[in-house]
Amino acid sequence: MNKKDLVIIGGGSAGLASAISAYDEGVKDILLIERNAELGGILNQCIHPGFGLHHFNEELTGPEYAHRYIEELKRRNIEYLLNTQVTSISKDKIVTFMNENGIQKLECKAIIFATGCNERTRGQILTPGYRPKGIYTAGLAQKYMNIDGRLVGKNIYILGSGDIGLIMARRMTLEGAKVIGVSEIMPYSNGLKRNIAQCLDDFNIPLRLSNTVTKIFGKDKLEAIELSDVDKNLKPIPGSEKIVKCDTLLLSVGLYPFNAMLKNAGCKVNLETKGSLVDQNLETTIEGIFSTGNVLHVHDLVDFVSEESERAGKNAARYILNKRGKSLNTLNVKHSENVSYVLPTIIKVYENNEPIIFSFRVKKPIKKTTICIKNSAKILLNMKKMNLLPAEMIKITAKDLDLKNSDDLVLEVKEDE
Amino acid sequence: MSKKKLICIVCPNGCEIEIDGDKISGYTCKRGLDYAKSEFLNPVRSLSSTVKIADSDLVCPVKTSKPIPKGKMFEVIKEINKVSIKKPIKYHQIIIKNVLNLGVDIIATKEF
Repeated sequence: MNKKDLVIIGGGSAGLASAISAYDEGVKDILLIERNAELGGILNQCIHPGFGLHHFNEELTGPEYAHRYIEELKRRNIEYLLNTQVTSISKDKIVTFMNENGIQKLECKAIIFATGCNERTRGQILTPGYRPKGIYTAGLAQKYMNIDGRLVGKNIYILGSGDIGLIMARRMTLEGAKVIGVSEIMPYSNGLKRNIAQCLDDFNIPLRLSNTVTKIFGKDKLEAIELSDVDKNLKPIPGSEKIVKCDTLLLSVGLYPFNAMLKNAGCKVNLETKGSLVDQNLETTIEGIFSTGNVLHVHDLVDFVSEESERAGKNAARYILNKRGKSLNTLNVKHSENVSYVLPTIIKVYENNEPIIFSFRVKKPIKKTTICIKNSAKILLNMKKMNLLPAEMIKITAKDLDLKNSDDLVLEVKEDE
Repeated sequence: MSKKKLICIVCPNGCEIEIDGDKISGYTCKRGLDYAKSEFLNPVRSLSSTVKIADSDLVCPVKTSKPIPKGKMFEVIKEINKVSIKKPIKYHQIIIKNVLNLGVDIIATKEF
């Protein structure tokens, strides 16, 4: 069987950043596998600006952000395959893939899994009614618009206030469609505040909070939808129904990691993120298999995907080159009730520990908080933060945590007055 | 001058800025202060879209080289939609020079 030191699956922002950083850390025998005809992943269809402010200190569009990474990859002559679909990976790190040359297998020392996420579809939110044409996920409509140059409808309603839906509201309005409104089942928006401002407010597109689609009309083609307000248990309120005529409904109702292949390989799943369980080095529960980017947990900013993936690449390289020593202690990370998840969930303590980066989200908006990380003996880190939102991932870097004799950690978000 | 509240769109933090007469508060960086001033005097937006590529099923993403006045967005989109370009297309190649005499170019954000 052919061999490779490192195989990276997925040529989007996560795969590109991890390939480059693994190379720079000293691993040269790398293969990056991408299923599409070009590198860059979803960045290619995100033609709006707003990327790179953290990473490059300037505002780029998605294709520009991808371009910079692709140039770096090519400068290093890192090998990559396009139009190639990985069909499985095994726990002994054999990658099976297929392309126009047939089915091939590769045995590798480490794998980085960077396959991104999927959009939730109508089936997953159980909207009742007929199944006419005219209902798209927001990201699919974005692909049709920005890659293929096709506008999917003229009178559009958007369900869900996720960022892709908001961005598409602006994009389709500029291209001449009428975006009638956006409904969000939660009492707060799930998109970034600036996208509400520049994508909805700029064009006077109404945002209805605590409101959802309760019926779909139209047998072959979408003709109208029924909107209803919901109560605090998210149940539709009888009598609040309103019929809205439209030919297109876009769903922007969330993303989930495209993690099935890792699960099948035997990597334990994090039930809160739907990605894999990982330690602070982004290593899954199978030694030498790493997971990073949106397949691990859904990010709001590509800059954070790049940062995480650089760590994954570096750590995979250190693993391959036998540079990380023996782990002295392993502990779990838990969180308080108002946090929806925290990563990492496992910390392996080494002789020389690098700073640990915790990422987490809160379940509901909180104005003023104190965030602390503690074990059963003491508080190890304490910081104040303002305006936490479920839509915005929070990252904390913890330096010099003395964990050699620590028991499990808890991340606690306390609401301050 | 009257009171005005706005959400800063300069970065994903989305700071809430308040303008009260000549007092501006709530911003957390200089870019935010600049944004608030510009939003009050002459609001501008970066614009991105796509142009047709001759003999291709795909379109090429483009953007304005600088932000343009907010009120000009639809007119600029109209200009962009008139254009069809030929391969090869270079990264940051100028597609429309000085669009509508705004002093701003439309440039390709991807190579083909």
